[in-house]
Amino acid sequence: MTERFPKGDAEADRAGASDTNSPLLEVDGLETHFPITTRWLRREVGRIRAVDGVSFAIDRGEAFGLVGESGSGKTTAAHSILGLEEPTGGAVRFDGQLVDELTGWELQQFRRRAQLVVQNPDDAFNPRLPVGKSVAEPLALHGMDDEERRRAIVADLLERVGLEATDANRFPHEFSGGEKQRLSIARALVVNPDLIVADEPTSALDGRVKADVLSLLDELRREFDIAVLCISHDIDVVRRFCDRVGVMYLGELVERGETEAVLESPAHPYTRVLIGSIPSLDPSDRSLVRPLTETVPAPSDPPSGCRFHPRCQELIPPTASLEREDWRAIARFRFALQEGTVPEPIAVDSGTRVDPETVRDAFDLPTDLPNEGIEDAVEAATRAVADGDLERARERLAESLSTVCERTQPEAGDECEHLVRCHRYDSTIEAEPIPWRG
Amino acid sequence: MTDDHISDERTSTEPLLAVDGLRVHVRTERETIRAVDGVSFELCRGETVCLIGESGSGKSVTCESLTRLVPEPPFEIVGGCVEFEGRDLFAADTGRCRRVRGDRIAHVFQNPQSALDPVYTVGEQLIETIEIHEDVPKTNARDRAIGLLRQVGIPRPADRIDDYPHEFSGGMCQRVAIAIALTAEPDLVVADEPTTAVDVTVQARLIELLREVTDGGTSLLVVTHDLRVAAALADRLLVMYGGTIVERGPIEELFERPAHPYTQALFESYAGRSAGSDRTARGDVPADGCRFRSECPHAVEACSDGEQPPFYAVGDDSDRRASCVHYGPGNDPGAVLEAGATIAEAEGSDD
Repeated sequence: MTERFPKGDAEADRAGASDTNSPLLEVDGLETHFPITTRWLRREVGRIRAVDGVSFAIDRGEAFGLVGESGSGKTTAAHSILGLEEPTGGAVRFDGQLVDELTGWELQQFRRRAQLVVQNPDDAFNPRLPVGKSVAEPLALHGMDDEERRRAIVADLLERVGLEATDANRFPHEFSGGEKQRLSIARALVVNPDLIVADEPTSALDGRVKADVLSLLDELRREFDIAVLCISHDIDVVRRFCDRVGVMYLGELVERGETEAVLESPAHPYTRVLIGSIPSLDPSDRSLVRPLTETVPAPSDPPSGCRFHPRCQELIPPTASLEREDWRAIARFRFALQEGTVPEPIAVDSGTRVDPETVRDAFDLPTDLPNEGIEDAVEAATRAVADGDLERARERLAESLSTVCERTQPEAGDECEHLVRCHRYDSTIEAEPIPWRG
Repeated sequence: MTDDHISDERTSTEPLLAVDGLRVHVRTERETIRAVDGVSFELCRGETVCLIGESGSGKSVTCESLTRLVPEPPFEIVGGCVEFEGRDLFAADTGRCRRVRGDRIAHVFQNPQSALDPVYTVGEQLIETIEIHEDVPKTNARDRAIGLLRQVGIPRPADRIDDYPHEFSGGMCQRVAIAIALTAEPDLVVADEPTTAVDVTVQARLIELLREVTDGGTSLLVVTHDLRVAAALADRLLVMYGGTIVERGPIEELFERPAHPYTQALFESYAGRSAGSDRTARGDVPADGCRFRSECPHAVEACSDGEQPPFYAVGDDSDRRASCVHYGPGNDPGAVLEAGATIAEAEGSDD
């Protein structure tokens, strides 16, 4: 057995106790909001809800993935868990203890046991320090004063991550991106952590280097029984590496479950858009899924009810009598007007009046709808758009096409294994889930 | 039209672009790096060709050398020729080269935020490009700029035209960059990692936009490291490694059964089984023989002879070519081909 950083006493006790059943990391309703303030008086005028009620748990040795697009709050969530950002609500428990209550030696232990690997390895190292010094720095910080021992541990780890012991004397610029990411991993491992938070660990790498770094991380996690929170926008990374996965949209966790279940048969409409946007490796299948509307709302002013509703292809209709395609066309019409993204022939900026027929054609609106109220609303809105009065059209549509998706927030349905935050999966609401690729 | 310069093997359909034996070196104080070392390919009208490879394989340098965009020095184009519609671009004087570069061949780069000038509005940048290419009054140029923005899917173009690049999202900036590339109605768009800096949902829309561009008859040369992007766009694929092309062929056949051991390794990394996890992290690409031989599981002694092996036909398919001695005359490619089929199969079930 090679030399490693010793684990703390408390931990050794704990390992012997029966506490091992509880998860290593428990995140419960985590909220991190950033205030928007006015320039002079610093009065709060709004909040960016970067993370808004995220819950998940990671067991010892488990790899959990957090996916989502840029701006979905996944990095903020990770930083809040590590205490790098101060959460504004919710609770983070590490090994059963609330992280924000930790002080002194316990806090230091937490900082040793939970390590971060950042996205861009170029920024992660001091260019004027030999990498061996950078990798050894956490050891010194956590109280290992014996330089010989530090050197031995670093040399050993460098070999373990596929580099050479003599590389310790070289400088960051002498390494390639993949090698630097291996060094980042070595630095995280050097203090013998229980949790590694890897924020986009491979997005600066490509092809086989990416695969190599991922398999290295996977090997190490199994060898040392380390839990990993892997944050990525790359579904391929999550598919390969994670046991379970959570999908984030505008600060909320919309779906969570076993990686295979979530990626092979996604249930939440947003997850479906995300998975369906990835080009297939089969060149004869070139279909790409698109959301109902394109614009991602601002996290400072998220939509009411389900945050995905203005972009949702599976939006629940106000009445069951509508055909799915007809309803989609009408909903797209409504939300496009709301966003102000009007198609070409009736562009608002042209300022000229158009024919209601042109409006119908531009949005591909159905005629002869079975429901009179909706037919009337669509008709009235079409005329309003033709007259150039978008505000009236918006109001008319909002009034008659109100859906449960915008009125109430979907329940998180806490205790179940596969969480889907969508009204279609709520038994109290009259709408069936639509089968994937159905 | 002068077509006496074109290569003699294809006289019936003249390719739009023919690159022959392109070699680009980088001179540094200590050594000379052969960034592009004998690259040849052709591109027909309306065709989409993807150049795939890892960072450092020379794919971007190849593309930027076509129109001499690479900075000389430190780069130096030391050999080969590039013919566009039968005209030798390297022999042309700077004026003519510039005309072709601006009017007929347009570039789109990886990072749109840095391709656009932050201190001018997107409208000013578009109008500037339009005025360089056409002699039009300012108001007409503005209308045309709005039309171009609309064509690439920017909502409310008449409002957005006076916005600055920082007011656009990454995906929208890339659309603006594509609009600028399309101003002169080029015959060829060279896109270097056009979707790498954006999210998948945005990437999906950009892929659709690029497909629309080629539907209009424009040719597209896409550089990417992402097999998925190649699968979504390309008609034909060129696989680059160590400054040379190691395999070429129609996309469907190539994805079904990658032939060159390097291509196979690339596909394998997508399947999540990295054969080379024990591979040395620091592999120097050899300067002669097959560039991939030091990492190749099928390497034999003949691999280190001479230059990169010539292209041999793969199987009976006349369009598939692999630069690997195993496909040469008198050799049995069975084992290598078999490895490719298993990888492709595993990949299919994974997807």
